[in-house]
Amino acid sequence: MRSLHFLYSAYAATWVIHLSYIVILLRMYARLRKQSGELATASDRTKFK
Amino acid sequence: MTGAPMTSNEIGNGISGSGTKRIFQIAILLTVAALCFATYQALVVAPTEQTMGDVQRIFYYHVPSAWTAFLLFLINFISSIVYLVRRSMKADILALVSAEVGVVFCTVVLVTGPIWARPVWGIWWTWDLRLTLTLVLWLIYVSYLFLRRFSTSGQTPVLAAALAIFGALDVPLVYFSIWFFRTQHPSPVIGGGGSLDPRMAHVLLINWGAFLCLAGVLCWARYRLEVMRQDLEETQALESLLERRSLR
Repeated sequence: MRSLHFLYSAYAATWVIHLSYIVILLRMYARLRKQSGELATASDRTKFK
Repeated sequence: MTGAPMTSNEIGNGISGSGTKRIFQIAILLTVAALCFATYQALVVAPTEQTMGDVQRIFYYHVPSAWTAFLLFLINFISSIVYLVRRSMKADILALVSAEVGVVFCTVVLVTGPIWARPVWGIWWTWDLRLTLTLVLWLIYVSYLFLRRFSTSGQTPVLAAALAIFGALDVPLVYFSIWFFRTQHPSPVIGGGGSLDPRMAHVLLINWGAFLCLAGVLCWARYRLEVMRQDLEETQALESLLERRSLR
């Protein structure tokens, strides 16, 4: 029973590490999309000037 | 990046172009399916080891993660040499991406190892050669990522490539440490006199295949993000230059 506790802890830890990295990538993607959108708006404003 | 900087719309399309996006989604689905199948094989299908019991099943995550990390550090080593020889930006990005995903897999190795060691050895950690060299390997690549992240020098990719080449020397030391030295870590399971039940070896290879798929998807996503980030930086620099010119 105690052995199963360690087994599940190891598997859970593995997925926590991988999912944390995926969250980091998603946040990076959202930030880049936002910056890209801001750049597009700024570029349009410059053209109108 | 090479060529003219992209427009902001093109930058967005760099990661979400319909064809690439579709293939990427299929790759994610296949990877999730492979990981579910591999985990089922590890938890249910693989036979229970006689002396260690169920805790031995940690091996199906620990060993494939270590092999995947070694492979990614090898890619980092080759990409760094290609970058130093040809100054190829693609090779530089590949070096960064492989090191980053390699560190993620190496972290899994360093976390799952002690969780296995506690019930089997009675201790979480020992300064054994294999364990210490793996920790050193992880620290080298974490330093590499810190250098890439925080150095503002124009020579950063060159310095990082040099560090990566020296860092890669630790990979064979980690791998062969249990072949040539007496360590507390178990002997190699494949080759080097290891005798693994064929059913266990089969499940081990299935898990390695699934982890390779995961590493591939993560590297692909991170590569596209890095290309997008560099294009955005170039476009921002160009826009500010044009704005300054128009103000004159």
